[in-house]
Amino acid sequence: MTAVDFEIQRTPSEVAARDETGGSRRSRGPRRSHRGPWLRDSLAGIGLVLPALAILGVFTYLPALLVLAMSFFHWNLAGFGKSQFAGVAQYKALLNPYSGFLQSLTVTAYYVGVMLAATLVLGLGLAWLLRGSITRRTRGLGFFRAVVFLPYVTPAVATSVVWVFIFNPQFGLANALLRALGLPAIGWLESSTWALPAVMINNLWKQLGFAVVLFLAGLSRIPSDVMEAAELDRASPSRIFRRIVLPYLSPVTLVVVIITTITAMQTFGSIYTLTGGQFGGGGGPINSTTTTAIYLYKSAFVDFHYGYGAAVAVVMFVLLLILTLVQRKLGERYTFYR
Amino acid sequence: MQGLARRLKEGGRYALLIAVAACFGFPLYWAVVLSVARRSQVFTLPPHLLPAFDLHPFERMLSAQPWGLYFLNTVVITSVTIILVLVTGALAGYALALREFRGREVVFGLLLAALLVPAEATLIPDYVIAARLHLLNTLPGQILPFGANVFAIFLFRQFFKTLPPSLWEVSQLDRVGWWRYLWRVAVPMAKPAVVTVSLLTFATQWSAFQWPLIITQGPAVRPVEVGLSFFQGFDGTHWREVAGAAIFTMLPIIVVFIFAQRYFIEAVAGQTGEK
Amino acid sequence: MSGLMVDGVTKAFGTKAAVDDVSLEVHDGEFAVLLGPSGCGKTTLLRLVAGFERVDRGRILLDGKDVTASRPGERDVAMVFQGYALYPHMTVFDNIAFGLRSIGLPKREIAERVERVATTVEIEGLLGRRPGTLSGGQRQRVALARAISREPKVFLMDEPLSNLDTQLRASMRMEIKHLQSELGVTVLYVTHDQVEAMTMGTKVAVLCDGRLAQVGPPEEVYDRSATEFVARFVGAPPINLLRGTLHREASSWRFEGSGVRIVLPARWAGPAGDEPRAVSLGVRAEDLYLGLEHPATFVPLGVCCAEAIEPMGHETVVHLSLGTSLLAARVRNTWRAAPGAQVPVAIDVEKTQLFEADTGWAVSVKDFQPSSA
Repeated sequence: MTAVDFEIQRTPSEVAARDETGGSRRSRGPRRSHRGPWLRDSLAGIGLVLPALAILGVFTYLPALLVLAMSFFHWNLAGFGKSQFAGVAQYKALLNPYSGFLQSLTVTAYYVGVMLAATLVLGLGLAWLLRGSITRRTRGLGFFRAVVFLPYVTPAVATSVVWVFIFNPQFGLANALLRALGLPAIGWLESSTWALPAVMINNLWKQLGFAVVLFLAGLSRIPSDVMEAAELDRASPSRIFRRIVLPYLSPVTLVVVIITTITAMQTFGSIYTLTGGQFGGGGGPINSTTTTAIYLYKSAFVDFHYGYGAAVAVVMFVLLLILTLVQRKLGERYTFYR
Repeated sequence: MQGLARRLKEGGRYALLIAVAACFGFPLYWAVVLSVARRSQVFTLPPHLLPAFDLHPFERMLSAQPWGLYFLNTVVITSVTIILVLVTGALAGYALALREFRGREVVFGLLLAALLVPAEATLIPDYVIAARLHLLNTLPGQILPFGANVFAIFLFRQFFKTLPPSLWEVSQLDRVGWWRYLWRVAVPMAKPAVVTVSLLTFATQWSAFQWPLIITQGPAVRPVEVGLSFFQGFDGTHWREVAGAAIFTMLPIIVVFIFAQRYFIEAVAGQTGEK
Repeated sequence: MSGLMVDGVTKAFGTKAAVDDVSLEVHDGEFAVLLGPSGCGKTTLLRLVAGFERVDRGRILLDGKDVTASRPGERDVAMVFQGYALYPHMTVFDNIAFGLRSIGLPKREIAERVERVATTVEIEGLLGRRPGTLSGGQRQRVALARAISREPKVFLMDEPLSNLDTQLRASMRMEIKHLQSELGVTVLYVTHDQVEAMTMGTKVAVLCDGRLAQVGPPEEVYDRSATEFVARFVGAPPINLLRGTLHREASSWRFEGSGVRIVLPARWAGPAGDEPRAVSLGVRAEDLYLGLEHPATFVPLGVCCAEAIEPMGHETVVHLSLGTSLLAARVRNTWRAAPGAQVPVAIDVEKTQLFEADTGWAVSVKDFQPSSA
């Protein structure tokens, strides 16, 4: 087919001849302003996407398939041939309460749930506080926004190192603050109850800026005439917020929900740094901060159970996919002003 | 009366803004205070909150680890990754936006599918593949896996699609080949995309931790964040030195952020299609 | 043969023919204008000549060489676009030089050439600026300079003046025309503005629904339009058309209809047979005379009612009603009447045009028919 096209493009009289017999040949879309031979175009097009596809192929597509295959083997670095087939044994092991996987799911759910709720409430609240107004300029708004956003771009390990000091039970700022307020000091990272909340505080501090930026973008897109009309109608601020602001923000909110979920499920560097990763892969006292991401890392790269880790990865992948799809579906139903 | 109420409200808002800024700025500020504190000021109650400008911890920190090497590694990794992502992104984005070829839809679908695969899920096989390709404990091993970015491709595609077709037509008449058109016209005109992709790649590669943690073994190719992590784990009592190191490793990002703050924020917002 | 030859070219988008069997010759040094309403296929034809679109059928020859299958860059044509298509991130100098570099000219010669064309279009002071800082007229000049610099066989211009304001457009019109004759280059110029066509073209080709309706010097297109469509499209205010029938007299023709009855000179070959034929009588606004003392070639048409009087400054356009027909007359600006006044109107029979009612073709030029009859 391509060869035929090639010929025909070279000899216009044949094009005409074929036109008469074979009906009208149309150009391949009106945007096609380049009449090079079809085959050459195709090769060039593929050639252009090839570098990207090659990298993605080696480090994304192939691994995505491999991870599934590995999860059915007691995999070792010698390869599939030298690894023992395990069937679904490793998936069964995941369900065993003593494996710690189920606990990691609970920890993850707790972590993701709190992060999501806090990100939405605080993110929207901060965005509302930091929003600009056309009628009244607030001085220094850019500075305040920058301060809130800065932690988001800083390296997780570097900032977590600092938070380790903040959460130090004896000399840390966190307990200094509690004491100043007359509250009892907390063990924080050394306590199985408080280690995960400490991680949450660290990561809320670090990641809220992202949600704020998105909510600010959403707020800026609410047409000012809608707001003005509502204000002229003397609608109360809370009513304006519920009836106008929230519906307009629903698409942004969906994006924030999805990204926060994905980020939270994959959090690694901060948990590792905060809760003693350097002493054996992270995970906190009694595995209290062992999220599934940490669990995956420990299984594969501390205990060297690659196949088992692969099974964890597959489950995590499926969970993320389901969550994202569910959120999108719900989003389609409850999102307005798309 | 109304003016007073407004002023009170305005004042309240400022008070709140300052409180928020204090919350967000304080950890970094405290890291600075710690890093230049005198020995006697670290383990005290209540904590010292003003800097003392003692530079000895910095000196000790710098001599304790080959930071220069770590820095150099990270600079090489980050800059080469940026170039790779830009090149692969511009090429693929150009093909998807302005070229018609067989299989374009398939490629498009493949790229979308790649967005669904979380990095966490491919961590183990990536490690295995890196081992097979002899990429463990190398700089290329820390660069190549991040050398193509679907977001970058789509961003370039989006920008290229908005270029006036007449520019390409003029170039054609002038016998400017598509290669030259791409690099001399299309990419320069997609400058916002270049800036966005560069900044995001810079931020992620500079902060890279989990992957280099897994694939590097000695200090030779170790990047700064992994170096910092080891430095932290070395001993729990050298707060000043660790805080100094933390500041030291994040300084480049903070500097870039200060100068390119607007672009940074736009890049992050644009990443999700929310501008 | 030098110049451009379009030979039986057809181009369809979907099932709709945008350009339908068009043949056109533009000789060396000629300024040819493709004129027509939007959607008539004129831009498509231009793009076919440039090579941006693939010809479905027919041939395109440049200097006698068949370039139908050539890529745009191989054709040696230059184009000036409606939106100028300047590279916004390059200086004016680089905009002009960018194409020259790709044909491998030495650096020195490029610089010389850029200087030369910049002087020609009087932008030598702007070479360091970027297009974004230039006015519309200046951008237009840069686009022209870039086209000239290549020294192509043919210049293609796609409504290059439509983004300019009226005054600038008038002066650029003259300038482009002047430039063309000075450089002696061949131009194919697309426009929907009949004033541009009349003032600039040495040859005007009127397109209608993808087909050529008429090709000829501007005066011919204006005075002896090939079809009613052409007659209506050129000229402002549009030509007056009176519906009626044509009857044979002894040695002349008689037009009857729209409350008018006039005898026309025997200048028409006329349709065969003695049957009365349905026609439209066309007369341009300037060929009507208001008043009783009309010149010798005029014959009285009747008394009309002046409905509206539009002073244009240098002249006045009077809108008249005659029975159910509306007429526009162009008179001197000293002419005075109140709206509603009864005005005697005379018509210059020598300048009238006749079109067959059913086909729209001119009676006088029946031998010239749209190419796909």
